[in-house]
Amino acid sequence: MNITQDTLLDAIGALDGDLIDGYFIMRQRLIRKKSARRVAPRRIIAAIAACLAVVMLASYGFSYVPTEYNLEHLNNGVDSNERNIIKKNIWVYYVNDLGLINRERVKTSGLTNERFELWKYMNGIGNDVKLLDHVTTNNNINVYDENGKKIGETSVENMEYKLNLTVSKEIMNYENAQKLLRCLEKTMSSRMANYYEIKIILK
Amino acid sequence: MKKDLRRPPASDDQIVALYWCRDESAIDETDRKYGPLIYGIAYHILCDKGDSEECQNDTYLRTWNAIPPTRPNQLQVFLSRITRGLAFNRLATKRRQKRVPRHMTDYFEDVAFFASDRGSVEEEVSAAELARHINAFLESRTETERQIFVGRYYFGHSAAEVAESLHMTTSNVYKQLTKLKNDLKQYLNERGESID
Repeated sequence: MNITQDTLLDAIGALDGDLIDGYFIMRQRLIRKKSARRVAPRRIIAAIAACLAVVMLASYGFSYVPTEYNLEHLNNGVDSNERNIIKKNIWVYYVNDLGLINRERVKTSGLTNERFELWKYMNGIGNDVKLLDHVTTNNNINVYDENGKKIGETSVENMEYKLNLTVSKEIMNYENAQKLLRCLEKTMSSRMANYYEIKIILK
Repeated sequence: MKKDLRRPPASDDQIVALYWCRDESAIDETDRKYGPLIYGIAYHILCDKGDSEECQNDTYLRTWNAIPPTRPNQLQVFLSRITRGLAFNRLATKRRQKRVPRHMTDYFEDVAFFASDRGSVEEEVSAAELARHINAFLESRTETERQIFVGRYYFGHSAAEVAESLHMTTSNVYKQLTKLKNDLKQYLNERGESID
């Protein structure tokens, strides 16, 4: 028998239809599997964006979750401005044995009372020194009603906080009192508590 | 013409009915349902965009002329046969001009393995008869072997592509192809005397 290449090509072209159909089915199954595995890039981007959004919202939400300490202080009338500046890590400044100002990173709720206590602890200050009062003010514009009663505030673009601390005058009995007060000022303004001005009143 | 992607494609029976009614939308429907397949078959053989598109259009024309009187049971297979035939005809011209795609050179080397020039021209076997023998040979083989043969020799897919389709390694496909070639050659030689 004589088989030429053209005859063979024609013969292969005339293969049984079921054989060819079987191959089609197999290929289609493969394509379907491949496309099922392939995830559209926009879906990946959407998934990443969703994850980021969840992480950001969660972290934002957690910063407002009241801790045991916060709850205790919030109930004692700590104002909302102070709650907004609660952060986890702050620098506490102290005067070391050589009389130099040093600092240490401390994990805390960041409230003024707590900063003050930490400052006392780090500087070895006794209970004779107390935080008598602390008032945070800002440059918001107050809104008053017809009777002159304050009914709210209007935020300004560059908000500036001012902190007035009233501390027992016994602090002046300590060695390096001026440095200690400088440490207190720095501790109060450490990490996110961006006070425009801190005023310490001794009483 | 813009394709309406929302509408599901017509069934094969509907398309064939349109051809029988001499409705020109039959070609649109064929293109919509089988256009990529036809183009894919042609492109695989020709490796040329322009040639493949021409081949695709020729397939539609051939189908238009063939139906009626033909009423294909498997429209997909019917179209693939026409496309393959047209693509190989075009490839024959390319071969004369020595412009055959690289993977098809391997293909022709493979096919040359079966071809023999023993005997006289009078003894030349017809394509239909040879197809009958090849079909009978493939019937005796496993499903995987059949698919390897169809993929490689009917569609001209490379061993790597066949391997991917069948979840096999390329070397395994090569091994099976060599075995198939030898067995088929032996089979055809055995049947040679009764082919007269």
